[in-house]
Amino acid sequence: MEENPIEEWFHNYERDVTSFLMYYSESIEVEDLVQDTFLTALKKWKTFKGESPPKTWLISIARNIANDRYRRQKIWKNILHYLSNEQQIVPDVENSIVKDFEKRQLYQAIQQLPSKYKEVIILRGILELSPEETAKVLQVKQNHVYVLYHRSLKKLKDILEKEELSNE
Amino acid sequence: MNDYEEIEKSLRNLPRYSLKDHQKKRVLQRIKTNQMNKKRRLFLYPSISLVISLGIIAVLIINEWNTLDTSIDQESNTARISFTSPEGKMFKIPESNLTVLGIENKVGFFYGGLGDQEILAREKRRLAKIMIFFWGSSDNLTGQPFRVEALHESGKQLTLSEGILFGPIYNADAHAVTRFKPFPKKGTWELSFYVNDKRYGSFIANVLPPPPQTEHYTLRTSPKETTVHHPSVLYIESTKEDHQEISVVLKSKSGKTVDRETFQLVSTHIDADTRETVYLYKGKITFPSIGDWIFVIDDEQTNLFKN
Repeated sequence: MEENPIEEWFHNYERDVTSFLMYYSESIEVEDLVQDTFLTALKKWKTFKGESPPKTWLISIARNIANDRYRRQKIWKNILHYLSNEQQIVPDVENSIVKDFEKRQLYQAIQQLPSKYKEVIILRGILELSPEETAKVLQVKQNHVYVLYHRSLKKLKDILEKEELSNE
Repeated sequence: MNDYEEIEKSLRNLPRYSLKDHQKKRVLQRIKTNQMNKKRRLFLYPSISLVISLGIIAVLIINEWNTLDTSIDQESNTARISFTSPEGKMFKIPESNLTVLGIENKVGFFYGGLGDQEILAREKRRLAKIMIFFWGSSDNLTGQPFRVEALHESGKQLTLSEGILFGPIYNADAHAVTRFKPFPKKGTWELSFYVNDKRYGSFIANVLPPPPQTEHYTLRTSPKETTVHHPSVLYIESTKEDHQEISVVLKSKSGKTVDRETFQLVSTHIDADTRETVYLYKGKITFPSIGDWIFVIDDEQTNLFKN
């Protein structure tokens, strides 16, 4: 029987998948989502054609799983819930960073974005995927990624400015 | 943060996340288990499994011969009984999902609980709920007294169970729900089923060594029922106070740690005999090879055992 590459992919791409899910799902069950991602990959890896790198394939599985879960459970945890649970998941070094005021503001702003903007911000902006990779995950044309990303940044900027005004 | 470039820079500076080590380990473990299950499903074609079980039986028999030889050397004064009864076989009862040990169309019994296939010496749980089936003439069987005797190759004898037979069930002509006394020794036992003090049928059963135990913990799974290289599910029973999880360390003979796992509490019940609360834990252990091992369960050590 052909050996499957899932364990190797887990070692190489777990961080990308977990990071995506942390920002995208706001769920406290990130471990579950990561697990489901890799178990789905295990089930389907034979249909994976290798046209895209495994990283984008895995992130697109994670995205589908998070969307499904969201649709099913309608749990959209707010930032406070997220922060109160971060100790369990966030590595200690990074723990302090996320409590940094500006970053928290940025994080909050991202969570206010509509999900089609939010995902492109996570993929392009935070995970630094190329436009080509982002297009593969979102299953849209590459040109559309440029447009989407630009709109997302604009929207993000609007939210941040509004926040600043209300803080003044 | 008012221009795009600055926002992009801040985005890039947001932290990346990784699962914690124990979470990663847990997920990897589940991936491995799923892979195993997948392979096993492919593997379990009846013919293949028949060949494998025959192979295993052959190995067991050869082992048995070997241990017999050596133990005869050591205990030359002890007479060994050579049994003439046939070896008991596992077979399915039609229209039920029960697999029983015995002789088809004659007599057999169902035991276990967690899907166990083997009988272990000094282990009573698997024998706590026994269903005996008789095939023959229902009129001659129903309502009659029965008795199950066990005779060890060393000559030791005991009565496992006694009672009255009930009527037909599934395709069997009589049955009884009972329990067996635990087998005090490992090795070859001849089981004789008596109805009305007449021997109705008999067969040979192989009993595995008692499962490893510590002061408070006893394995419910025999290490002989596990595989090597892949995680095997083990159940551990405890009479100690309620823990949600326990640590289980597998060590080699020389004391080197080869696997370390956390077992989770899966159920709690009251022992019918002792009225003590019993906690059942489940987890997976990977034996790297066949050999001699020690478990350290919640800081309590077992004796050396073989898998």
